[in-house]
Amino acid sequence: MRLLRVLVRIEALKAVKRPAFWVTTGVFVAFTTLANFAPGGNSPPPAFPEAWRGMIEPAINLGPVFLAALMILLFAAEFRWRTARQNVIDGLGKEQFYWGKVLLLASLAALFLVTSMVIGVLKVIPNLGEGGGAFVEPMDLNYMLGFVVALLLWGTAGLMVSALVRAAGAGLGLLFLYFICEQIVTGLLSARWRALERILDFLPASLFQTIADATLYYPAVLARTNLARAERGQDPLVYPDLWIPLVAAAGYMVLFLVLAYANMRRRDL
Amino acid sequence: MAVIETAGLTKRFPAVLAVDRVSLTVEQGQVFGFLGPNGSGKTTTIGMLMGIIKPTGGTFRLFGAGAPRDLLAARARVGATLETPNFYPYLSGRDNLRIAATIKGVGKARIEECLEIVGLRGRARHRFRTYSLGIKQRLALAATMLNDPELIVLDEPANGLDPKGMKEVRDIIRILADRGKTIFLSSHLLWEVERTCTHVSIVRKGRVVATGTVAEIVGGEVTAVVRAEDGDALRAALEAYPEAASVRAGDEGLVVALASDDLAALNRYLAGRGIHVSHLARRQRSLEDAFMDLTGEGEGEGQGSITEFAS
Repeated sequence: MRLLRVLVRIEALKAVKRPAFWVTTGVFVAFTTLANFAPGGNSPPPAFPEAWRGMIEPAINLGPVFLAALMILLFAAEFRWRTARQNVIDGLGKEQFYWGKVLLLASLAALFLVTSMVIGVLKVIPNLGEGGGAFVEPMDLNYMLGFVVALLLWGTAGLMVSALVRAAGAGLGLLFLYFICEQIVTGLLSARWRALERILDFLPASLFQTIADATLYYPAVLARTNLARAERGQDPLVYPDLWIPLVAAAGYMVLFLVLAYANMRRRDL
Repeated sequence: MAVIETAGLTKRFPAVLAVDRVSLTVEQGQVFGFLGPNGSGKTTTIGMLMGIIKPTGGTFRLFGAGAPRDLLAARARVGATLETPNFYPYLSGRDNLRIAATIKGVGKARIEECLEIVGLRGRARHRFRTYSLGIKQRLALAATMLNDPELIVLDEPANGLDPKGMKEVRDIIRILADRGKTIFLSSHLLWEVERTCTHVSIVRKGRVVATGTVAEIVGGEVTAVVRAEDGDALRAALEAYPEAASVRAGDEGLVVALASDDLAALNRYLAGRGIHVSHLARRQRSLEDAFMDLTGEGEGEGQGSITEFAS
């Protein structure tokens, strides 16, 4: 219990006094606010329960990326400044230092989730009492779960890259380069071998895009999308059961955490 | 009671053997100097003791603890800095100490006390990145003292300090030593160590080449400084002199370590070889002389044997 208190206190102090924390979070808040309050578009009416989708949609596309970037900025710098080394000299075990970062990741994911919800709710406040039916539908809860999974998928990727690369600039570059390269490579491979498409969909970046897509959670949206695709002569979108991409993402998270942990244990500081 | 014990401690990096079977014992209350040229493995050795570098061979104990879990508890009795002061550049000096204090389980009052000891209260609210190297070193000293440790490990604490700063660091070390703390001080500033330490180990290329009290390391030989017009002939003659333990170039001339203190005999020997000295003087042998002889610094490849001193 004492260790948990120590980790919370030092990680909080390190984060809240770091300008990069406020800049990254501020930019995320600004973009999410703009996306929520921008006029026009075909977003659902701002009343519960329909408002949830409009609230989560921009956040699920932006939040995970910002979270990964913030994680890399906060974690990787500890190697350049050699403060990771000093924390261990001061009495933290290398494993304890690592768990501090996992705790930081969980806290930042919670912060991003809550911030997105607060911004969305602010938009709905004028229309409270309007709309019919339940306050929240099961598919909205699933979408929220998808948001949490997407945040943690990118967040653990950021944590792993930080532990492996130990440099913020190179870490950010590597993460985003991978994201772009995966899309190019999967695009080329699936164009040549259609059979590979279903397997390639489970690579991390493609998986994230599946999880972020509202059509996975809302059958009505999927039906509308497929109708539009049919009019354009395109094949309908077919998604696996919701739990399959979520479990696959959880598998990646565990893999990323284990790789980061093993790296922290094995390498000198 | 042994505070630090290492036995055959070794660290091999892919391209280099950084620490080669280092065995040393630091007893409670000693001010122990760990001397060596740059790249001799001092920091790597300390890194292994502090748990940030994994040894590839040998064992070590801190306060008698050798198992990983016990070592974590033993390290709570240690205050240490490694190489340059490592702090968060965007945090103030006080906030940096708050992080170290939280890890060590120390309260705010102690932070202020340590800032006072190193004379940093006036600058404590300024960001670390605005500090000069001297102030950074003082903050590092304050951080090591936070938990009132029994063992203080300082790696090159006088690096980058002006003479006044060095004296301040020396004074702080003396105060800590007077309070009964064990101090393990790594440095390549020999005169600094000679003034501060009671015991010394000298390392060269990862190996301990001598260990003992400062008096034991420095004493035992007479040193003479010799100059003559023909320096090459003088050097050749001195190297052939049976009583000469070593010969090296110094600032004032050739420095020769002698097995006996009969300088007249040396003068006769040189004159017999047709060398007339322009300067011949006995010199108080310093730790620097011992260090140079033992590490072969400035003389190319030096001797590699281990000199053991009982202490």
